[in-house]
Amino acid sequence: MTRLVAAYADAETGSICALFGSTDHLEIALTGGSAAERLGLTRGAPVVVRFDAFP
Amino acid sequence: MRGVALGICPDASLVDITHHIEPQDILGGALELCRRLQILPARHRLSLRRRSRRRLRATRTRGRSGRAIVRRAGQRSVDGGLQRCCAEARRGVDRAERTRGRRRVARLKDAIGSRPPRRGSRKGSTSPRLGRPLAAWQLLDIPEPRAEQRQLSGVVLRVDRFGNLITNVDRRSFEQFAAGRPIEITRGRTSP
Repeated sequence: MTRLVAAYADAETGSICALFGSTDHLEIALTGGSAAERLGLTRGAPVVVRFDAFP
Repeated sequence: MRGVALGICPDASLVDITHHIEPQDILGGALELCRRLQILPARHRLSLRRRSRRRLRATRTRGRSGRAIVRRAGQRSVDGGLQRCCAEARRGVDRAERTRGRRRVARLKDAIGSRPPRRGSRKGSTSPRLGRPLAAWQLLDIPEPRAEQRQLSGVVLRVDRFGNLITNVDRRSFEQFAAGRPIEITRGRTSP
């Protein structure tokens, strides 16, 4: 995933997006569905944010 | 507790905000409470109640005057002092809102740690009705994101009721490393 949005509404329906929630923590969300189910992730799952991922 | 609250303040409206928190999910409750404290409109107050020893709930209360009385004077705290600490935190948020631009309270811990204003200040002097303050904090062990050369490694702290994955990567750490560069978020590998 490469898209960071400001709000859930900014993402296309059915797409995975990332945003900072009200607690100022990075959240991974699926608009119109469950990101946890789609990605098969649950609490404790490792997440990596890579910078300069693209040349 | 609802009956007691309404008995004292019949005009109060009580709204449960953590009914989706699973029993014994202390971290989930703490994150939700922290979140609500920041977005709760001024002149509202959070109170906490314990249900069947295992479930901790936060309740938003509001009276006609904007003040909610949640417990009788002199009554022993039913939540071990959390309620008073919420009032302290709420007051910290209110103060931060008044001094917008200078400082914004981002975390519950910061808010609680801030110095209380003088008694009788315009907003939110802590009422003795809220009981004794919590003497001993049990801080939750929330792991910090790990910074490496070109990446931040974190974990999913919580899955909310919509299936959103809330990680421990905070905005400050993120912006410190991102600096406007393109990013890619991937699923990490679990250590063997």
